[in-house]
Amino acid sequence: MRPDREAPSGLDPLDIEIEERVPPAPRRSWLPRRHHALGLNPVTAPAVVYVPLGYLAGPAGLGLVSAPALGYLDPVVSVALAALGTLAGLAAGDILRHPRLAAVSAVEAGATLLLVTGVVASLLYAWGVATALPPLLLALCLGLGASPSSAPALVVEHPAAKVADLDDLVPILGAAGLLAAIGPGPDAWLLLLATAAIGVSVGIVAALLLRDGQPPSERVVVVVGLLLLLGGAAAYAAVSPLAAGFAAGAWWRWRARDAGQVILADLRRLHHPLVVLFLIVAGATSVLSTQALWLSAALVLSRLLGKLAGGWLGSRVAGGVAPAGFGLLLLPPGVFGLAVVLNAQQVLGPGAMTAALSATAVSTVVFEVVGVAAPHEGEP
Amino acid sequence: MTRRLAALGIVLLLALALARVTAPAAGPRTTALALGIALLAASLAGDLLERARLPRLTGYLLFGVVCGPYLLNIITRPMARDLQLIDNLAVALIALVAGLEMNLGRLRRSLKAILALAGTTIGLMYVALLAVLWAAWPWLPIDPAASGLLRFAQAAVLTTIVVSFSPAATMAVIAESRARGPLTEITLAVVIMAEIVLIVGFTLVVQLLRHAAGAGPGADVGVSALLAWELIGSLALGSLLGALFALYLHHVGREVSIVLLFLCVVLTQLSRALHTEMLLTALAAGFVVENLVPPEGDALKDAVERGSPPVLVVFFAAAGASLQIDALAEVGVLAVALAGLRMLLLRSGVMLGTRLPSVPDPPGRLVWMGLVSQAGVVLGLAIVVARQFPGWGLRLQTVVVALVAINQFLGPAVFRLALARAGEVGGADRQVPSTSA
Repeated sequence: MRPDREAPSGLDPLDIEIEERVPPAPRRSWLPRRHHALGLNPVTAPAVVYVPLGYLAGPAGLGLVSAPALGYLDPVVSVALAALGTLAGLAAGDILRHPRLAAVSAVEAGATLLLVTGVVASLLYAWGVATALPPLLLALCLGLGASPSSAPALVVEHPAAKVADLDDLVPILGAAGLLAAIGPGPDAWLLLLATAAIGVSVGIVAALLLRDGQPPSERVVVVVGLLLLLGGAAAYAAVSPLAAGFAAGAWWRWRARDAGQVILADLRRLHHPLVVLFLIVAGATSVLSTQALWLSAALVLSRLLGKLAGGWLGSRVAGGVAPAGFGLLLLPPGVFGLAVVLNAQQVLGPGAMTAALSATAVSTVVFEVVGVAAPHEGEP
Repeated sequence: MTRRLAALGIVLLLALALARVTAPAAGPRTTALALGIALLAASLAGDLLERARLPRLTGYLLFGVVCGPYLLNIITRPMARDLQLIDNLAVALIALVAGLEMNLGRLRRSLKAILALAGTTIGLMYVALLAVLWAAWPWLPIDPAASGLLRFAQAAVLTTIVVSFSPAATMAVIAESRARGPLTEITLAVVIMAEIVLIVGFTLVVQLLRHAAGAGPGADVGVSALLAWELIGSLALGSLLGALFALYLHHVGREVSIVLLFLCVVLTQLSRALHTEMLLTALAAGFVVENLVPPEGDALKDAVERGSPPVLVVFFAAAGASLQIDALAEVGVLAVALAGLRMLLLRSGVMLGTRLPSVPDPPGRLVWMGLVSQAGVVLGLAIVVARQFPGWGLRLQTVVVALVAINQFLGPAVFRLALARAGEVGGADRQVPSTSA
């Protein structure tokens, strides 16, 4: 779910400003030209670059990003998750404008979730693999991480693009519920209430602090402060920063639209570096053990089946709105899937989720690479 | 204002509720929360002060002092430590941007003025302060029994520390005010030049002190080599990193935010590992980038400055939280007297400099106001003395800590006032971006 389809994870604000002042050298456009020459999608997903880079730099690779350094980056991950959740919440208004597409996205994401959970849980039980979490819960985490899509190459009017934007809702809310139920906190309902309370409190604070005509230098302090408060409070309370961000974003969308617009404008500048850092952390935290590789294979296959089946089911549910076979367009997962699983790892601890995170990282890179060759600039 | 106070109330209630309903956390789990609360509350304090026609950054500092570990303890010591971690990155970024400000072509025009002002100011302060401190030494609560060469050397060490400035605070005020103009350029250059003179001067006076105290020659060489390395190593490391970053900006120019953050992390970590002065290292890196690839350097400086207010708020709030108020209670009168004398000599030194024909008068007269701040480097030098001479060195450290507390609080506000008087506040926003390739 993103308000800006042109840039799947935004663009680096400094790149834009430097390029506006200093025209780029011709060699900078080498990669897109080569892509076009091969008939490939010119959008290179950040996960394809930064997840492997993070793995190479991480403790399992060259060790440049050490385990203590990953600990220091933990707050950045919380803030990045809160920012992603906020973007999803701000875009949640699309649900009201496109109720049939929202239904299609729920069916498609639900089908993927069920299929991945079923296949992975069955394999884990069949293999008798010893896992830190009960196999069904581990499979459910993987299923939640597998259900979002991004479809970065499609134009904004394309129904599959809308479905891809809306299907992040299922994993964000599902993960919030699951983590509240199985996390270390006292009471699931209390934790869910705390998640919503954090989101809404920060939402109200923003509405009180952001005003018309505020100088940009003051506004950016408030917006960065709000994001830190959102991610920090959620991490402190061991609840999902993604869900807290979603609650804040939805509150701004429905109750304080002016504040929401201001935050959206600043988020577009801020969230790209955050997403890149979060992808590097996800890569650096991954460990390509035998278990993780088997899980990756199972995840890739079941997600492929899930998306195809979900697409087919979705087009049945709302024939005419979603074209048949649009599941193929939903293969690129974007960053929300990885965000959900990284969030689960933050709450449940590295021991329980390392294999699942590694498998999701591999699956994300595989599907994003496949997505480069996917149809692009598609028309409705 | 009611809306802002209500917002502050909600933030504090949220923090209290979290502390009540969850187990006390430590380490990285608190960092983002501490930063979030600090940013929002400090920003509100800045608003409040602005309404009272005082600089916003005084509000940030006040917030740090009031909420810091010495008064209300809302920012507890672990939180202050978390803020300090971010503060190191902030200093690296501030110094890097200040280095980007130093274009050789532009500096050449005002080089004479800078040398004249720095020379007269530092010279007058050194001579006058040394004379006063030497004469008053028997009455100062440091080492009243000292006599002869030892007394002279001790007074010389304290003089060097009292004379020194805070480039980080000066750079942060310039960035926060988005200032551009002659006063900004001259003050920045004088402060940086003084920093280099200070390190060389400190090396010499510590050698003299060790000789006077009868310490072994081996240790002499150790301290001198360390300080020489601090200077030369910082410039070399900064130049190398700056050159690499300039190449990256020119030939790749992608994901600059992340690479810049990575550069700041590398600067802080390598400076710590190699015992170089981080501020000088970052400054040298910025200087090399600006002079190797000026168009990219200028664009980067403007872009980073526009996005830097949160970093500056954290810098000033952390500075406020780290002010050691207890030292003021111990030697407050002496510290106030020293701070007053220092300001008087600063003003006199600059006035003397402005009589020279090379110094442009109107902005030149205000330069002294940009030299009042003192901060971390000064404390670092006092710690070196305290380690070398645990008896009287510790008493000297207490005096320096109290002096820094005063100047760290007053300095930024005074400099902001000078920039406003010179009409340079917001100058960066008024400048038309250059498009030269």
